Amino acid sequence: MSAIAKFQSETDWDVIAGEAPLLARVTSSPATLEELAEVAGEVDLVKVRRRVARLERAGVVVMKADRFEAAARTIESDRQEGMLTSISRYILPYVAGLAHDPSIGFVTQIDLDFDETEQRAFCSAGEQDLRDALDDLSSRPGTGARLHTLVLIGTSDVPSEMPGKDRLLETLKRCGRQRAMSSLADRAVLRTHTALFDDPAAAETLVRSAAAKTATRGEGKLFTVIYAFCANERVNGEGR
Amino acid sequence: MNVFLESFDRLGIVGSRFREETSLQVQAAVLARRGRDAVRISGSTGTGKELIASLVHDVATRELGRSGELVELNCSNLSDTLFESSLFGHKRGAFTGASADQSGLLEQAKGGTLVLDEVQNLSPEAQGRLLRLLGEREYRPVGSTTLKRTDALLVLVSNLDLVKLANEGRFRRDLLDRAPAKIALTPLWQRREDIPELAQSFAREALDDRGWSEVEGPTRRALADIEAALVEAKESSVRRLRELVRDAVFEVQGDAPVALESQVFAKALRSFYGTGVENRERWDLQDIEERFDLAVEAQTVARIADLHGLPETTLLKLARVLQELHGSLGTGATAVPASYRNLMARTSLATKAALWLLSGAKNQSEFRRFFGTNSFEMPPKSVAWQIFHDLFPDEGQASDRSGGAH
Repeated sequence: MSAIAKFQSETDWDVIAGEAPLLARVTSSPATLEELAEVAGEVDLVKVRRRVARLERAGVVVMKADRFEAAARTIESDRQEGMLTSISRYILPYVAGLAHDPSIGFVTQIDLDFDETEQRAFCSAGEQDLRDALDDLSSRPGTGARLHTLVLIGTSDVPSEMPGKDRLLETLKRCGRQRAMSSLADRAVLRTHTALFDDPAAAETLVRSAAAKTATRGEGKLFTVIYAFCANERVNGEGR
Repeated sequence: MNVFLESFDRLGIVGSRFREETSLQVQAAVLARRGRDAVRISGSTGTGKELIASLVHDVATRELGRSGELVELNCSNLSDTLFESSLFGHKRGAFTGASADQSGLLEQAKGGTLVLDEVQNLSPEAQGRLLRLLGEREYRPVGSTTLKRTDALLVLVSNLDLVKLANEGRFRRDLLDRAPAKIALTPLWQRREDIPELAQSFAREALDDRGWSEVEGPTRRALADIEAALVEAKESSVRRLRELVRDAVFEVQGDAPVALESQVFAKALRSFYGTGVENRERWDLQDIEERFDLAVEAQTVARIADLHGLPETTLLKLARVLQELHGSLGTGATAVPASYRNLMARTSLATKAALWLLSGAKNQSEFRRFFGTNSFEMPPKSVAWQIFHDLFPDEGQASDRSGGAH
């Protein structure tokens, strides 16, 4: 299994987004068609095979012997949907969930004095070291793994002081707006990273450490970063 | 509402919001009135007036036990004489060329539905001829001395606002008064959630026409682009959307693609609206500005509902959460958060109807006061119950048991 698979195609994005449960299952461990049918809630194996074939065509799933497995440990893709649609589906559930009830995971917002160069560097890297560390932790053998998602939001359009919950959501809105403006997009970051963890507490510790390290880089009002981390089943999907 | 679902499928009516809105309106305008009142359907060009006229006939046939035909008459470019003769029929010798008795469309529509399309084009004299028909359900064939009665369901269709025309003196007010049941169709761009559904449906149709049934439909990105472009252009016509999608699909060169990506639609979007996928940045910004708060509210409601372990539809989840959070609305002790009021302002009539019934509000004004909705946004309670029971028969019984307001 390779470490990372990158996609730039709208078609592949749709396949991956549409078949997330199947993908999560094969990422956890190789699975038979019958096992995938159970995950899909589909009794017709022909239909399930067709759906798996889409994942094979996208290059994220391969068949070995009679089992299907993930072709890569990590999948990366640039957004291939409308900005609000992406936020609603993939980011808002986590941020809104944590905004209402921080006890379901970890969330923190840090205001920094990054200049424009530092902002660009931070956004470009998108906490690569943290994501690598999470991938390493995720790849350790174990059983009973659960999907968790890290959401990283950073923007130079810093909202003023307001209650924490409102500020989290306002920051997300401003970040989404900035990411949609090509002239300013490189000074904002909006990224999710999902992986299976046997030891979610260890993963959360990694996120807390990364956030604490970022906080030491100088408090200010020029840039703001949100780290949010929680289990996937703790949040709702799109409410629309 | 099973009766509507069957009709929607048979007539090929696509669009969740359109279906919801029209089922509610047809219920109130036709079924609740037992088909006794003339119905007027209004909507701009391409909003589906003819389809809804067919829906009215279909539903009335099955639910009201009617058995006659659907008969249509386009009122454009008809002289008064021809209009009268076509509609009412004539006796032999009534006018030059009337060599035999001839029954009219009303006779043909006996027991069925008569649709008068583009009724705004009728002359004042022709409008006057309709007064007795709509009011008394009586008419006199041209050249006859005797009155006949009709039991046809009468439907007036217009792409202009008849009330506005009446205020300007261009349409008879008393004619409007005799067609009190109203169905108003929303322009396409104002029901944006239907745009992707329609685009997918039209793309499927075009792909099948090309023999490309294996091709996946438009990608999410492509659908987002189409939706944004149509909303920005304030496109009201479903017909135009169909034309756009078909143009794009038939422009595809070479072998069948795996899916229809956004570039497939770029040229057609530019040709129709002067904007292409290069406008994404602006569309995304507009979307964020206009709908972000709504997305947050929807997410909040979904999350609260989930925490309460509430099953099935968002509608019921929302209703029960409201009930649980606020208890009986009759007390008025707890203020409803602004987010709920905002959500309610964007909620469909059918949803409001069910929420009203489930909420425990004693009457409509209590519900309206609590959620800040306007009277014209609320259906009558009898209609609300009918809709709710049709949509959720089992849940309705559960609600009855738990003491919901009736």
